[in-house]
Amino acid sequence: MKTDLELRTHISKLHRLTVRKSIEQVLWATLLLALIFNTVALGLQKTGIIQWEGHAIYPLLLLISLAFSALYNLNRKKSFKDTLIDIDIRLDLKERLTTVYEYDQLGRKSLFMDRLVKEVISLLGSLKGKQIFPRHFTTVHLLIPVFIIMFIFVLAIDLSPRASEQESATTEKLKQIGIELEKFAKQARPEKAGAEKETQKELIERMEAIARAIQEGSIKEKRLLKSLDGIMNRSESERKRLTKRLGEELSLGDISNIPALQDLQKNKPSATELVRLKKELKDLFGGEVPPSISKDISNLALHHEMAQFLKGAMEDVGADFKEETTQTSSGSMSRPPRQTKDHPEASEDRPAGDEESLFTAGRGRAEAEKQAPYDLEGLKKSALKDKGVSGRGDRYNTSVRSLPAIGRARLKEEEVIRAYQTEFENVLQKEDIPLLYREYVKQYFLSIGMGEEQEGNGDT
Amino acid sequence: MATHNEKADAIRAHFDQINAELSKIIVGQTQLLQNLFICLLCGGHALIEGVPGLGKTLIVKSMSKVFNLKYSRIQFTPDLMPADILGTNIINEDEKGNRYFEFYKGPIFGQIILADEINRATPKTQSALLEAMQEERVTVFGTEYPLEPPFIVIATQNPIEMEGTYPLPEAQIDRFFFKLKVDYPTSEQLSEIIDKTTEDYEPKMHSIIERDSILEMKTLVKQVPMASHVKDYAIRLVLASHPDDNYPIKKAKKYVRFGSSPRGAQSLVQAAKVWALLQGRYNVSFEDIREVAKPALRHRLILNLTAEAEGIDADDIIEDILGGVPIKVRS
Repeated sequence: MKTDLELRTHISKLHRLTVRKSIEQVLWATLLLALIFNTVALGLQKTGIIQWEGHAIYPLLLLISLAFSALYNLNRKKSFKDTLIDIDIRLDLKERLTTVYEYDQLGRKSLFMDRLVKEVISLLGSLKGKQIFPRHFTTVHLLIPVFIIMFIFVLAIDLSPRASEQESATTEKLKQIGIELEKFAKQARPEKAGAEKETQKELIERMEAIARAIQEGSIKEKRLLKSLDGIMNRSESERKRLTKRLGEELSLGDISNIPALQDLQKNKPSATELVRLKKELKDLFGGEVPPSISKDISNLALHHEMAQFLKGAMEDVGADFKEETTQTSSGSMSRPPRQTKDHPEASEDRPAGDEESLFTAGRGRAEAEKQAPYDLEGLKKSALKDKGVSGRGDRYNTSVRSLPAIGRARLKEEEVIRAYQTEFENVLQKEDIPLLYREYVKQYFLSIGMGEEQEGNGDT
Repeated sequence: MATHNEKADAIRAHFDQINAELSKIIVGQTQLLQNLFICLLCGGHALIEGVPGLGKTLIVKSMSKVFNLKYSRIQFTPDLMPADILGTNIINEDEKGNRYFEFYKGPIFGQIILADEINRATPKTQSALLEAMQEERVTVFGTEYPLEPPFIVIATQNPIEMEGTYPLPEAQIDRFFFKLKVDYPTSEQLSEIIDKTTEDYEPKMHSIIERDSILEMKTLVKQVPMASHVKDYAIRLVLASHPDDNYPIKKAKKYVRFGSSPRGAQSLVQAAKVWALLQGRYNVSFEDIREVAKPALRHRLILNLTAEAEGIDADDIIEDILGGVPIKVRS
C-alpha cells in the first residue's frame, strides 16, 4: 500500500510537470506568434497600407496568438502515456515507468510488480524535474530573438516618409483645430449661471475636452468629427428650443406685427435675422427690449455662432478624408463654411435639413448631395435643378426672391434698403466672399439702389 | 521459501553457473547457450544451423548433463524411418507362450532430444517430429504417449545448399522457437578448442539445475510484465515482415514471399521475457524484443528467388525491419 501511494505521488508529480511543460510551450509559441503578427501589423501601419485605429490592435494580436498557440498545442497534445513512453526512452528506463503505470491503471497483476514498482519509485525519486523534462533549444527559441530584432527594427525605422509627412500635417492641422476650439470655448464660456447657461456650459466643456484630447494626440479625425457632430446636434436642438420659446414669448406679448417675427417660423434664424428681430423689437419697445427676450436672442446668436464655428471645423477635418492628397488649407476657424464651386448654395440661409446633411460629421459632402433631393422636396422655397453644373449627381439651386410683390409690402422702402445695406455691409465684412465675387455682390446691391440716397414715402 | 523475486534472480544466477560449467568444454558460443536456455524456459525447440564440426552436438550433449535431463540423440539419415524416432509395437511372448504387442519407445521419449543433421532425413521422417514438438506427445497405432516435461528438441542442420540434404517443410520450421546460427570460432577460440581436445583434458561436468527448478522457472517466466506498447511493437515487427504490409520496408517487399506466422510474435514476446530476466529486469522493454528478433523470426521468413539470387538472407531483412519500424507510434 505504501509503495502504491508513493507511486501515485510520483505519477501526480509527473502529471503536474507535464501540464507545466505544456503551458510553457503555449507561452513560447504565443510569444513567437505575437511577435510575428505585431511586426507585420506595425510594418503595415508604418508603410501606410493599413492605418489601425488606436493601439488596441497589438493586445488583440497577442490574444489571437494565444488562442492559435493554445489550439495548436491542444491539437498536438500527447497523451500522458505517450509522455511517459518518451521519458522511458529518453532516460533509458527500459519501459519500466510505462509498464508500472499501465499495470497500475488497468489493475493488472504480476508476481514481479512489487519489485518493479519499487524500482520505478527509486528511479523517479533520484530524478529531478529538469532531467525528466530537459529544456531543449527549439526553432521557436531561435526565432524569438530574430523577430524581436525585426520588431525593434520596424519600430525604429521610418518605412514611409510620405506617410509620415502626411501624418504630421494631419497632426498639425488637428492641433490648430484644437487651439481654435479652445479659443472659441474661452470666448463663449458663460459668466453667469442659469438654465440655458448650463447647456452652453456643457457644450463648452465638451469642446474644451476635445481641445485637450487633440493636444494630447489621443483623438483621431473620425472620432473628432463624431464628437464635433455630437456637440453640433446638441447645439442645434438647443437652438430650436430657444427659437420656439422666443416665438411663444413674443406671441404671448401679442407681438405679431413685426416682419422679423416671420423669420422665427424657421427653426434656425440666421444672425442677420436675429439682428433685425432685435432691432425691430427695440423699435417696438421704445429702445429697450425685455431682458428675457434679449437673453434668448443672445443665446440664439451664440448657438448660431457655435454652429457656424463647428461647421467650419468639421468641414476642415472632413475635407481631409475626402481630399487627403490635395491637402487643402483649412483656413480660419472662426468663419462659416465657404461657398464652393460645387456648392454655391451652401450659405447660412440654406434650409435646415439641407444644411445638416451637408455638414454632418464624418459623412462629408457626398452623402449630403445624395440626400439633397429629399431635403429639397419639402421646401416651401423653389428648388430648381441646376443643369449648368457638371460633376457627380444632380445639383440644385434655390432661388429666393429678394423683394416681395408690389402691393403686399408692409415695410417702408427705406427700411428694407437699410436692412439690405446692413446685410450688405455685414457680408462685405466677412472674408469668405471670394475676392472675385465681391464686385458682383457690390454691383447687385448698387443695382437695387443701395448706393444712392433714396427717399420716398410710398410703400414698396 | 524463496520469493518470486528471489526465484527470478535465480534464473540469471543459474544461467551464469550453466555458462561457467559449459565453458569447461565449449569455447565461446555464449550467445548460442543463452538462446538455448531461453528456448528451454519458454518450452520451445531450437534449430541450430552451422557447418559440420562447430560443436553443435557437443553443446547439446553437454547441456543435458548440466540440466540433468534425459538425453536422446537421433542421427538423421536419408534412410531413417519415423518408427526409428517414435518407437514401434513389437510382438512379445509371455511365459505362457501368449503373444502380445508391446510398445517399444523410440528416442523421442527423452527430455533433451538432439535431432542431429535433421535435414539429411526425408521430409516424411522429419514430419515424425511434428506432433511431439507441438503437443509434447506421440501417437503410435492409435495410442497416445505423453512426453516427459521439460521436453526440448534441438535440431542441427547443415546449410541447405550442401548436397544430400532435404529442406525442412515450412510447417515444421515454424514449430521451432528459435533458429540459431553457429558462428565459426575466432583464431583464439580455435586455439583453445585445439588445446582442450588434443591434450589430456577431461573435465567433469556437474548438474547445475534440476528438472523441477526448470519447470518452476518456466511458470515464472510467464509472469514477467510487458506494457501494451511494447507488445504492439512486437506485433508491428511481425506484420512488417509481410511484403504487403503498410510499413515501407524495402527489403521485405522485395525479397519476402511469406512473412512470419503468428508463432513468430509469440516467440518474440516469450523470448523477450526470458531475455529481460537474464538482463536482471522484471519487465520487457523494446530492446529485449529487438535482441530476440533475429533468432525468433529468421526461419519464419520465406524468401523469394530474387533474395536467393542476390544472396540476401533473412537476417538482412530483419535488420531492415528493425530499422524501419518505429519504436513509438502516437496513441
